[in-house]
Amino acid sequence: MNSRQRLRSGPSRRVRLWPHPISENLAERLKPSVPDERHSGWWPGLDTSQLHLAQRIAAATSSKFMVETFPTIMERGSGVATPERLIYVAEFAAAQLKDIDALVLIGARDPVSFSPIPTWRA
Amino acid sequence: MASVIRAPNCELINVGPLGTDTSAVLSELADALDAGPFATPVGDAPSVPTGELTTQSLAAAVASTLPEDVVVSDESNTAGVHFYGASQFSPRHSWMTLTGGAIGMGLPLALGAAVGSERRVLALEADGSMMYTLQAFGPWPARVSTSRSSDSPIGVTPC
Repeated sequence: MNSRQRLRSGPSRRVRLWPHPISENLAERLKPSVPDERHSGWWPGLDTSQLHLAQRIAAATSSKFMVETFPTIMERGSGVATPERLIYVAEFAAAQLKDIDALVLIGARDPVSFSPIPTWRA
Repeated sequence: MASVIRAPNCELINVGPLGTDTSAVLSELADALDAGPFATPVGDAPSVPTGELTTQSLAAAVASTLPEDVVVSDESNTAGVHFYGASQFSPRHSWMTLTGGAIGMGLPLALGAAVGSERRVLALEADGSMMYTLQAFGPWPARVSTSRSSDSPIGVTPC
């Protein structure tokens, strides 16, 4: 069996955690009960419908809507949502996230920089 | 070694691990929050720049002349840092990036997009990165052009 066949026939390694009973609680938590005090960041998928859903959610929760530095492919241009892009340079990216006290990830990993930030952690 | 860049006291809420049906998560959240309609962002693409060539004017030049429905393979790296902001009100396009962080994927990515999608492709390519995968020019030399006026499906803008 070659690797391609193995990929096709083997058990799926894709872990699917959704749907799970987080939606209502999460929605409750994200509601801007104290607007201006709580900021959230978003890391959505990147086709047009996903981008638009994420922008609507961000607007409904007073969150900042962001995308990772290097998305695989993303729809852009006139009429499409305009999320902020995480900056490549670590120091600037850290400054971008410094007031974010809750980061909501959707289809993305916890963001890391390519090079270390020496003084960030003890 | 990579570093976590969110603030130390920033709470992480991961509702969509990799492999999740992102659209389903977003739809469900939007419904649960009773989110309002999408507000279409309003703005203009930059005008064609004049004067000195800088990273800003380069970004404006590309963003102001971007064809509708083009696929952009963006390996412009440091010289292309302003492109994301400049192109947000350009005609609709798809934008692909250097996902792994290791340079050299831009031209093969452009070639693959051109062959696979039959759409026009623009490669924004840093000169050093280009040198890693010049082979991409090999199989279809007639299909790659560095000129805007050409009908080639792939345009390459060295940065």
